[in-house]
Amino acid sequence: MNKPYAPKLNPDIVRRITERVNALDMPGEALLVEACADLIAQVDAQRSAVQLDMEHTRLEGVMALSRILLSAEEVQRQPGNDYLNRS
Amino acid sequence: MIEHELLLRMETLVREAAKKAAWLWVTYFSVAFQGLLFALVATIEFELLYRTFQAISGRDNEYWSPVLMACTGLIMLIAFHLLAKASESNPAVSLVKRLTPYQIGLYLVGLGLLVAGVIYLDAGSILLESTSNIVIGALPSAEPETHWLTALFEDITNPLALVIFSFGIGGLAMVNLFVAHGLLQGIKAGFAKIKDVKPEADRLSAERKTVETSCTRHRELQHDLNAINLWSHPRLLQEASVQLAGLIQDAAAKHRRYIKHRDLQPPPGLISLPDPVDPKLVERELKKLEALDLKSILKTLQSHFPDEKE
Repeated sequence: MNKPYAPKLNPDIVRRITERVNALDMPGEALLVEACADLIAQVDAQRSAVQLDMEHTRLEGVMALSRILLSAEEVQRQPGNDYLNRS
Repeated sequence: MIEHELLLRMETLVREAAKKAAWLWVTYFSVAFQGLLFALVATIEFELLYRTFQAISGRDNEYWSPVLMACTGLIMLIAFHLLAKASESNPAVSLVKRLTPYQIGLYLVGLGLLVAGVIYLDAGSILLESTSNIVIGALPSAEPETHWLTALFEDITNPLALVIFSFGIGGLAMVNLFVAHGLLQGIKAGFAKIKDVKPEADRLSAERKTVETSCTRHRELQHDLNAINLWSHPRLLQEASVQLAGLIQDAAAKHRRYIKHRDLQPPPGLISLPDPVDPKLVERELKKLEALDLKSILKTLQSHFPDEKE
């Protein structure tokens, strides 16, 4: 089982905030917003990557299954049965 | 990911292919048996021609030597097979196919008559012999009469059987072509099956493994996606606020420690401030930084990233 996904702040943003605080300077609102936007983008990117991987995996499985069924001429026996578009 | 019904059908097909592969030994046996039969037919064809030409010539130094002529029979077997393979409607192939049933009939009728004649002359005639006593010294009263059945066999049936059977044996050369072609076809089909069945079963098994791996991987990815989808918009803002507040407070804590214990190494950022560092200035700035807590950061982020669902 994979480790549960948890987004982390961008290291570059972490460095910039730390530098500001070390210099007793307030991190600007823009920097905080940038950090949050990056976190949201990370989750979106991760979601898209997993969805893409899922689709790729599904297609691999369906194609292998289709090859098995085609070898037995299942498709010819059941015209109109479109295996490739089933989910 | 894939319907259960399709998975069941796949399982059935893969199992059928594996079963076929497991029974392949029958095909091996069949091919070997047909090969033996072909060898027998070829030998008969060879022997038939060899004996015939041996009877004609009797010597091997003639150009129609028995061995050479017998070999032409084998060439005919192969030639007929190649011809039939190229075109089933070829006139020569059609002729052989059409005449073979008649040749078989001719052979069987001839053989039947011949056997009947042999049996009759060997045993039947004894049963029909005259029962009158033989007296030594007595003159024969008349020429012994031939029984009509014996006459039938001797004068009609036996010559007819001989002729028909001779034609049947002659036609055997043609029947041999027909049989040899059938056997070669069977051997070829057997080899094709041997060549196809095992690799096909292995291929289907590998494909099934791909399907199973894909299903397992898809389930894992679905689990991952569910975990990612738990990161709702409010939860993400909360997480960002927690991480940012923690980062800021951790960095600020270094300054706080420095104020309390001046003997410590000053935090790297303070080097840029005028020396000596004014503790009141640091204290004032620290209070501003500490005011930037989780709640205030979250409020800031919420104002910039409003939840679209609300």
